[in-house]
Amino acid sequence: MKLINISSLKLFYGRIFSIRNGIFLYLGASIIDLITLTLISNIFASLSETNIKNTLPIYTLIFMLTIFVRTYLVYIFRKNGFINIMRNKSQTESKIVRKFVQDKIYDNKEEEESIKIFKENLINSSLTVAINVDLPITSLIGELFFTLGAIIFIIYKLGINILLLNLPIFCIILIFTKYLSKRLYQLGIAVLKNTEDRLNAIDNISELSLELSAQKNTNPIINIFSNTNISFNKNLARQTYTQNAMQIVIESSSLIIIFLSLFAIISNLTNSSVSNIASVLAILTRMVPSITRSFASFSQIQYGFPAMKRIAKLNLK
Amino acid sequence: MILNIFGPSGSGKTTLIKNLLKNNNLQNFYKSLVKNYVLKKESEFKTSLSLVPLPNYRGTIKEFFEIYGISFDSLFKLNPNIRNLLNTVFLIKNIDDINDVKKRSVETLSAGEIRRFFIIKSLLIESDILVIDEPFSNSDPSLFKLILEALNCSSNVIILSHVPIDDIIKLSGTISININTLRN
Repeated sequence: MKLINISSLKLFYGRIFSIRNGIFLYLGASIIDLITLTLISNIFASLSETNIKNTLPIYTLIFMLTIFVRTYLVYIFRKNGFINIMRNKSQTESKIVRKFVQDKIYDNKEEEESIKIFKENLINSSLTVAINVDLPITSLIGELFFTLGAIIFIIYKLGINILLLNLPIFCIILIFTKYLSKRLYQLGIAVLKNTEDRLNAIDNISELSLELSAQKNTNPIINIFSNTNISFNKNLARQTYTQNAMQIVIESSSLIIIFLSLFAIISNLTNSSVSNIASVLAILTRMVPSITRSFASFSQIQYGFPAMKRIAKLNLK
Repeated sequence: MILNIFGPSGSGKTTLIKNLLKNNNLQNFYKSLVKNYVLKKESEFKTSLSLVPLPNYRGTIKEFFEIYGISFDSLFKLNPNIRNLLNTVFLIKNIDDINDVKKRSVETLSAGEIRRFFIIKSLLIESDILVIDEPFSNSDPSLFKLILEALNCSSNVIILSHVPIDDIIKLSGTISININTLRN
């Protein structure tokens, strides 16, 4: 996988450092989630131990309040995390413009190439990096932090056997992710080139439109634009269904994980009480989408990686 | 027949052409000044336009020709006057030269070469009236005659210029009109 390359790792760490504030905010949301799940688990445990008739109203109130506070706080943390990433995007774009203008007289590239790359960097790459690298990295770190906490919690409640039981499923997901990530990386490179060509075609159409309109000749330019555009959209479709395939596999795997976990509890493989079912279910309800998002984010990063490399090559300061 | 509309910068020559095109009046305008022009059905009427500032096209000459529906084979069968003008932009003697030209980027041409390249493009596409804005701009005075002789190969031409083309070069059958006269 491309990420294992040392220079790529360096780029990757550099990127993580540049969006550290957004990551911290997202981590804050994950911490809130872990605290919430611990509280809810305690509520479930208390409910199973005490007289439900007397305590149900007060626990229901605490439960609802916890969920409400959690929802509000997670929203605030994530919102600010995303705002922070988009602010970072604006700064990167200003730096791209400054770099292009400052270096214009020293640029060895042909005019056409130089403008094509500048436009692509400004319009597509910076957006691709924000959407397909920065946001997934933030989400991945936050979700992995939560997943790790949740796994520790599950091991604490059910023992290590539950992990060993699910290990083959995680291995299958990992192999599948690796395969799809490679495809997404290649698609990322193709889409960058497609975008450059597409922007150039759009510019040329606007420049020549008056002459072609007077000539009453539209077919050739539409054919040329369509060739570029079809290739661009084909690759976008490939990217979408490749990412979707990933999601489908993880969703199915998640169902198997839930089934195996419940099976382990019910069949007493984990030597834990049935009262743990509620707590484990509560954790899995939040953990399964978290794992899904983590794998999806990981593969998404592969797609955005070529754009990130391109922006990093600019050596923006 | 060459119809020359002249006037200083900002006198509205280009705007006049754009408005005539917008209102489907270019043919009638040309006929009102060049009596032997035969009107065509508006839906079939085609104008080969080249106004300044020239389009800032970025791409190869091959793609450029494809957009305008110009065949490279037609470069071997050119009228001698158009060929002479083409030779001032690039020399095409054989198929190898064509292949080199195809790959070349339009923006690698100099300002004068681009002006003449767009004139050649206008001459090569199928049209009923040719409209060329400032055909001599950025070209050496020694090339003015070549440009005008090439333009004269087309049956119906409107040339927009700062000064009357008669002042630059004498060519029989040219009608020169000051844009201010048209306003009156």
